Amino acid sequence: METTNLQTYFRAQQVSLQWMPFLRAIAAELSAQTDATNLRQLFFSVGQRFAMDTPELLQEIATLSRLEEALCAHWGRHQWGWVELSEVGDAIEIVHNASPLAEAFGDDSLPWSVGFLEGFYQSIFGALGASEAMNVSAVDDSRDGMAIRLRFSR
Amino acid sequence: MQKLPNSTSGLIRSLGADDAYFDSRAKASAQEAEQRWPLFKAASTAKNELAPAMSDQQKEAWGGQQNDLPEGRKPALSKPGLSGKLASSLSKLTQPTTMRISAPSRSTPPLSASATPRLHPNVGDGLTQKPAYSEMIAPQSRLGIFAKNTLPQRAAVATSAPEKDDSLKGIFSRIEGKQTSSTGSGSSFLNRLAKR
Repeated sequence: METTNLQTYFRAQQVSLQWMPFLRAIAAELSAQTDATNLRQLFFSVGQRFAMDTPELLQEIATLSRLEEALCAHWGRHQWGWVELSEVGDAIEIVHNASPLAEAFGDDSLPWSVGFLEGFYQSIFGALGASEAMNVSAVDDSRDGMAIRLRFSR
Repeated sequence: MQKLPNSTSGLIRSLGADDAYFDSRAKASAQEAEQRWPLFKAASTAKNELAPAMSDQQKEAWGGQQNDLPEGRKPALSKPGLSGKLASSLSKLTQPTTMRISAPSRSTPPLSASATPRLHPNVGDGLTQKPAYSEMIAPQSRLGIFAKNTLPQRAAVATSAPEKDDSLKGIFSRIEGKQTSSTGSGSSFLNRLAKR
């Protein structure tokens, strides 16, 4: 069986059928109301709020590997995939796998819906003591959203 | 109905099987077997005379199990069965010899309670008293297949020699210290897409 078929099937299971048309309608309406930059900022704020609601996530976390473990457990609970963190050169590379963003809001919405992950991870690193001069931004051209790459750097 | 004569019962008794012959044959064959194979004698069904003496520790483990219940605990509806007592006592007996394998400590100790970041300013005791969703399901069962992607890598890291500081503080300081001139790297592909 081809990986593409598996991936297509997996994506179809990612979002509840009850909410799928609603989320797609919201995405279409948001895109019609404002531009992608504003939507990305909006979703950045949503991600920040999402992180703020999970204070237990950062209990006793002092290392990058421990943070990765806690984040994987967190995302796994919510069926939001898993994450890999690594220090690469002058940045922390964040690879978020199997996020349902693309399926929920559509592939075309990924350039702004990824703001959710940016806001989430930036809040997490900020809460762990990172400087405010550092920020998270998506750097990947993956259009299917199965592996969204982000960088935490200055 | 025709009555049986009194002598009939005696007649029937006399017809009963005489097992004496078979009993004597069985005993003789058992003795013969014991002589031929001494193992039969060792595995004889005769009762042991005395049970092996118990040490003080074992006596305490067997006898003191009733005292270990917490004071506030109410008696259970049903009495504990023999299997439960055995399990409890065996666990006590094996406790001193149980080996504890602890993972090697990480390079950096965990943050103290005062240093633990709290994200939400409104999160108070009322919220923390609620059972967290994360506590309802075991982390490993929730991770499922995704656990394979991270845990083996982490185990490999733990067994390798200590290389560099994995602490977040160290990483943050390295990143902030290293990157002073590359401020233009923030523009990403998705940013460019968004601007279009």
